[in-house]
Amino acid sequence: MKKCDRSEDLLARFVHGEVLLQEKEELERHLTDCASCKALYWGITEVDRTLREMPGKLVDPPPHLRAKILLSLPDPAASRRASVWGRWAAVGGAFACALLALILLLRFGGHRESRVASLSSHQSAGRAAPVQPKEDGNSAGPIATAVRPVPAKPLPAPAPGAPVASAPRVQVVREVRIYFYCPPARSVAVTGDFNGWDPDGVPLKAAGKPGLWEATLQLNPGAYSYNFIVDGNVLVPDPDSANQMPDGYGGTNSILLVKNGNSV
Amino acid sequence: MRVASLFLRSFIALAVLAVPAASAAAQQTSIDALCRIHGIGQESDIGRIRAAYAEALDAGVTEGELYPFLQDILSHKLDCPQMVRVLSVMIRLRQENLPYFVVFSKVREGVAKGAPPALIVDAAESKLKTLLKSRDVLKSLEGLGYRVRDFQNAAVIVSSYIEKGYAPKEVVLQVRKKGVSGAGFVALAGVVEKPVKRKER
Repeated sequence: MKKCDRSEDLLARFVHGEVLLQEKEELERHLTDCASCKALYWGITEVDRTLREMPGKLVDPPPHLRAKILLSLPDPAASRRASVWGRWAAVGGAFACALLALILLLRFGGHRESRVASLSSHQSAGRAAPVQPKEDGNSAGPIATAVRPVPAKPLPAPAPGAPVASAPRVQVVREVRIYFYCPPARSVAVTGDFNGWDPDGVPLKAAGKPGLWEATLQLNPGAYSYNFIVDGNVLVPDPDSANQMPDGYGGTNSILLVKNGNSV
Repeated sequence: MRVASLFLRSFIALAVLAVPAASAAAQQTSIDALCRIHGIGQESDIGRIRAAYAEALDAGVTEGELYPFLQDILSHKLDCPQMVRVLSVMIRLRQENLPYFVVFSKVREGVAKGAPPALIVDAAESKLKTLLKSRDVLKSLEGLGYRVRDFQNAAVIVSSYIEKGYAPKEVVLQVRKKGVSGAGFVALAGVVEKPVKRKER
């Protein structure tokens, strides 16, 4: 009885993808022996499947709700206009700034020039050249000052969402082939840490067998959370993945481990 | 000749002065516009976001990554305090030399899944806590003589074990007792190496 209590607890966590690998193995062993727990498992799975297949998610919203939502969205033309005006204002500001700098430079540069000219004229008309380094030394001052406040650029970082393993070190990219069996799906894509959870994902193509989808990913060694996108809008974890984890948003992520030697 | 030299110097000075000024002005304008487009209109709120954005850039997050990220999360209707909290997480991670782009990924995951903004911010902060614990685990392993080849990648892998339910102390203990592979931390074996045994004389 105690074993069944433990299994019920595991079962509840298993449905939510919260069991460790060894716990999953323990549960599977128990399900092969205990008929009542097995029936409970199938019952829960059936309810879960039925809920997933309910057409509620595909029903179009009523027209008045749709109109209300569309009306509340920001006007893209207005935002574009604002952005264009903002840019022009920035360019104008920069130009004014540059013009001011030019005026200042001409003013002070001219002053130095006349000073240099007067010095050289006191010495000899043919000795303008030796004075030149001093003049250059002076002009370097303001430029160096202007450069200093610019923040130093950091080392180039990997693209957003790229695996951490792709940081400056050169890594061996592994080819990982993933499969997903889902006969009712019209389209399937995969998204995850490897592509920054792109809402479009990497599309899977039909693998020959009815209902079987496949895709090949080029990944660096590391651990990646992922989900499948079914029919463009439903995110589901990989049912065949041994590693599942709560995603922190009330759902489950599957974990793909890509080792240095070979992909898992 | 002098006129040409003066012209050249003026041109260089213009370029040097104008580029940062234009860049700063454009950045400020675009952040302001972006906030207003997405319903953050109060000047104080915009100022806070702008300051956090600038701090993140100063910390070393690249603008090429940060700006599109800001666009994405603003379009998901995060409010000003939530935005500042997410940016603070990234600043902290960058300062700790931990992989800040994990937070980009976690937040974008929430956006893709249509999670409520509050939950997204919680997830980002939770990621920070886990990564800090991972850093402590890796420091402990280094203290035991293990060599961590790729600290950032190792931190992500350790964080995945912690999120799976392993206590940080348990990870260290298991590795100490059984070694990285022996303890079953397969993914970690690629980035954390065994200590070299010293020969006793």
